[in-house]
Amino acid sequence: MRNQLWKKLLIAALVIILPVIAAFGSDLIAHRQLRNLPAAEHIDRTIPLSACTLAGASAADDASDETSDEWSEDEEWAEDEEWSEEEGLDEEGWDDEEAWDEEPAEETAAEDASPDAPAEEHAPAEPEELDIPSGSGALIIPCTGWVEDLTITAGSMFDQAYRVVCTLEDGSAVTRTSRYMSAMGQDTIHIGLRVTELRLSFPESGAAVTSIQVNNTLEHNPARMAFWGLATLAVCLLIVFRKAFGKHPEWVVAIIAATLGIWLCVFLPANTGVTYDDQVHARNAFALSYGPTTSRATLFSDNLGNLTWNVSINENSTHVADTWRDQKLVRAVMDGVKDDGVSKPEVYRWAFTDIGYTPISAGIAVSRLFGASNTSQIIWGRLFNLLAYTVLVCLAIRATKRFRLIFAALALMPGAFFQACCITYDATIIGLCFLGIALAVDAILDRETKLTWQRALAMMICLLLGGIVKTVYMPLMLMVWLLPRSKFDSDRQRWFFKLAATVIMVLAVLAMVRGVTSGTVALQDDRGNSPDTQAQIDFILHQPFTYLGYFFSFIWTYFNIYFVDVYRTSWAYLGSLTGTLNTVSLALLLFCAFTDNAPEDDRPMRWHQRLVLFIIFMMAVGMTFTTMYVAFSSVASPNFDGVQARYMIPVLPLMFMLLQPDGVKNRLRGDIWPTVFGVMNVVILGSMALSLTLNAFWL
Amino acid sequence: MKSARNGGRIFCVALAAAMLILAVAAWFVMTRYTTETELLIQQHRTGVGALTDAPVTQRFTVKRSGLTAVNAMVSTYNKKLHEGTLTLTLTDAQGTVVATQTWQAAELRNNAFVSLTLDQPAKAGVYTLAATGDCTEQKGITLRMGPLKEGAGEAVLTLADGTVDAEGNGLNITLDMRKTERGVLPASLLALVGLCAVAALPFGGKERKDA
Repeated sequence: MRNQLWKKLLIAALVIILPVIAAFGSDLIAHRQLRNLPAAEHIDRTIPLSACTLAGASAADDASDETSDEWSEDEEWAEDEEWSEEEGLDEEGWDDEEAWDEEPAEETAAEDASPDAPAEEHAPAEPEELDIPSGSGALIIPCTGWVEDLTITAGSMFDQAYRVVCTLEDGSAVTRTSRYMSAMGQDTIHIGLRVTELRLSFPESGAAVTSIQVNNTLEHNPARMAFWGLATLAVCLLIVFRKAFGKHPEWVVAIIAATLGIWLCVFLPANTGVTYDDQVHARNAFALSYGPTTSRATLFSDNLGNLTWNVSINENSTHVADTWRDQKLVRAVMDGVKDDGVSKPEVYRWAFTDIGYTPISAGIAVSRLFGASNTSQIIWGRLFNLLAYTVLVCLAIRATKRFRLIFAALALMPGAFFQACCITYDATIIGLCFLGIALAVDAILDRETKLTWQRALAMMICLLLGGIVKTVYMPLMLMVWLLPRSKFDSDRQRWFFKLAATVIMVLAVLAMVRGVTSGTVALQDDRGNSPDTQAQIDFILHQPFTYLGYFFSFIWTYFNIYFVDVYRTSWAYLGSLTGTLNTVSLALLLFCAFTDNAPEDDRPMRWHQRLVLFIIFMMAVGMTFTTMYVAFSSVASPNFDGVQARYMIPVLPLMFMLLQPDGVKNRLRGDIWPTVFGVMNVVILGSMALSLTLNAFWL
Repeated sequence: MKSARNGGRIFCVALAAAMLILAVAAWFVMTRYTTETELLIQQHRTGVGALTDAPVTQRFTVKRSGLTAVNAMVSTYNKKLHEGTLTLTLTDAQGTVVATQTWQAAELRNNAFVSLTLDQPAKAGVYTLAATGDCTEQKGITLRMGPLKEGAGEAVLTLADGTVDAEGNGLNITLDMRKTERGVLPASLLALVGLCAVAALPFGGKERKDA
């Protein structure tokens, strides 16, 4: 007894100590070179602008060749004839002291560095700024020694990429790139090299640099420490609780959600432009957070909705903050947006989608009660979203005796898990559909137990709520028709229940139609290829076989994308997992699908049940494709535009259940296989978090 | 034991009743008011002449209840005015003044709308908008007019000299109509959840446990 107690204490101590070691160890490793610096280099220092020189297209001589908008608007570079032809330019130009006096504050003194600048007019004082022209112009920064991070303060009208070419001690050069956001006025770029010189350039639009600072002080990176600590904690807990996973595989999902999930919620950019359409979701969630009858739009939620703090690159809205210093700055700017209460009322329409926003809005509202900052409200919204998703999925796993790991595998699929950590209603829909399907399928397979009122009620409500948010999932309610006769006390009870479910489904669809006709719900999406809703519906009704031909042909051609890849390892605008781990992820999912059948479970799925489930699955898929065809595609097009594979996720359990043969039994040890499953998911999710989040935004 | 056995049934009944009550409440509580604008004419083409003490009147039909404002397009002949006033008066079919307002000429912008707002939404019926002015500066103030839209209903324009326009013209006025949207969607959702409770009701009489 005492030995067992000591053993438990030791395990508990290891579970606490190992993550702490991992957290601080990761920071030690990351800063190992910084730690070895001599004391003189272990400080932050500002590089004087007077020591810097311009290279390439110099400011004075080649200014006329520059095509930067900043130059073209400049009225003061009047000495050059080409400049004097510009509208409103002062012809007196360089030699006129008055012209210099008239310069606006942002005018550069780069001519001080130019050999042709009239030296007698400009005292060799520290310039206020150095103007780096666009194109091939660069600022040579004399900097010798270790440079951990470089913070550049500059003025530019445009958001743009910039680069720093680092000349190493051996003469070779390494280029670092980052993005500068004009709204921030400052950017930090991670160098992490021992250099002899740095060359800073803003090729797109140029910039006026006012300060350059080398940051060499050792500061802990909270994101890195939290990541390694939580990942280690997840593995420790998966090992410690392995014996419980045989009976409670849902704990695997809960552990991963409580570790990596929380990390993602906190350290994903506290902004929109993270996942699909989250600028719309954020605006709606913030509006709902003030209540279903008194919603508001605020200056902050408007900015989120307009992607104010993002930079558009190739139709993607990316995030400029790639270091933890930038993250602090961006979050400070975002938190600085004050509304002094509510800035303006918004015409608000409660819609069915608000069901999906409820957890997020609850998190935002609760955090706001406690005075949370703007970015903290986003984080709390995500945390509540993750909590709701985890609870629903864990209940789904618990509610069924077969296919448990299928639900777990789908719930931990990176694409789905990522949605749970973002501001989007998809996570709640997925959770509700998973729970509804689990309750229904388990009831269908269990022919011996009568249907209880709890299960009947929960199943109906979950399928109703999940389907009414997106009507394409309403056909899932038809699963009640598969309930065997033995579940009911009488034929009357059986018919009553099945008909009631069907009537509820029809009424829900009619309610959705009412929403469309009242203008609350939009059916046509103008982002599509010249959609014409009415003409498209006419085409489908008048040429149904042609339409079905297009549909099945499209499904066959793109089956892999919609049902295998399924955005499985996609993190929306942040990127995707490719390579070996992507293959491992697919293999893990398929293995679970084919083998999730315990030897003691003797409840076969009969062929007619599989057939009906397949039909229901295809109905949901068909409705999804048809809805997007009507809203997005041009009339009578053979292509289905706008259909995203992630729309299939809520109904994927049906597809994977169909794959599982009754004759295949999983005899792997109940305490080993779930643990291996969990650790593999930690590795996959952790790798994605490392590459797409930590190393992208928290350098 | 009996009460325990009936617990499920009681819960389902209570849930259904609660959802029904909440649905009715949502229907009223989540009512939303929006404004739709209806036009009287297709396009304004000319003015009715400088407004004087003799009113220019426009009789028009409001087809449904909810009129909250009448907006009239004013013209100052593209001149900046400093003195004088414009007065709009809205009366119902019985001649009762529903709303009246006076604007200073200096605050008027050429070819812009002025809005005569009602204290409360008016019912459907026939109304008359009367416009008078006392600006003698420059060319004065006028209201714009143009051909009536199809389906404008009973609309009669009477000019200042008492002449009734016989060419199918009307003042360039727009009507702000309040549209009431009851909380249909939340009410329907709550009602559907109540129906789910009703569907589960037959299973609540006997408590069973899963295998």
